[in-house]
Amino acid sequence: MIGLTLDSIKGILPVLKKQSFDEPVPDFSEVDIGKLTSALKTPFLHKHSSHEILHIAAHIFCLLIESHSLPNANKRMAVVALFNFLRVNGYEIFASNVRLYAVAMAVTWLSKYQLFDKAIDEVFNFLKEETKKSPMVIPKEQLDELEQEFVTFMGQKK
Amino acid sequence: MNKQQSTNTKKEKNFLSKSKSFAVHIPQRDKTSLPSIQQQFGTTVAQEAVEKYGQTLQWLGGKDRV
Repeated sequence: MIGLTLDSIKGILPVLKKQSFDEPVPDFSEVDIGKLTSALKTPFLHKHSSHEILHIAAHIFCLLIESHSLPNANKRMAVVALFNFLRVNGYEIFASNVRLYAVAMAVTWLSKYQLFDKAIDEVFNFLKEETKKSPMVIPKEQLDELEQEFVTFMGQKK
Repeated sequence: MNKQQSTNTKKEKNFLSKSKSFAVHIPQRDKTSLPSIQQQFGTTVAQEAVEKYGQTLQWLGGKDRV
C-alpha cells in the first residue's frame, strides 16, 4: 500500500487554487505541517487500524477534514487526496457529486460531535459501495518511486 | 609502447574519468530541482479529480456551505 506525503498535498493545492471558488484555497506555506503530517501518517501507525486499503482511505479522509491543517479548504483537499490515494492503490471512485458532497459534510458534522469512529465507518461504507478496483495504469517504475518517497516520509519524525 | 603513446594514454584516461564524473553529477543536480514524484502525481491526479468532481468541490468551496 502506498500512502500520501506532504509533497502530494504540495502538488494538489496549486490545482485547487486555479479553480474559482467563493472561498479561496490557501498556499502550501499556510499549512500546519504538524497537523498535516499527523493526518497522513496516523492511519498507518494506528495499532487498531485495519490494513485494508478502503479503511485506511476512510481514516485519511476523516483526519484531513477533522485536523484542520489548512485555514480553509480542508474538505476540498481531503476529496482530492482521497481520489489520489485510491488511484495510487488501484481503486477508482464512481460516486455521484451529491453523494461525495454528502459524505464530506457528514464527516464534518460527526467530527464536531466527537463521533470520529462513526465518521470513519460512514466513509468506509461509502467507499465499499462507490469504488471498485481498476486496472493499474501507473508504470511499475513510478509506483516504486512513489512507494520509496512514502517510506522515507514515514521514517521521518512527526 | 613508446613514451609519447604512454603520455597520450594517460591523458585519455584523465579525460575519460573527468567526463564520467560530469555524466554522473549533472543528472543528479537536475533531479533535485524537479518536484518529487509524489508532488507530480498529486498535481496530475488533482487535475483529474477537478474534472470529475468539480461540482462537489464547488459546493464544498461555496460561501453558503455549512
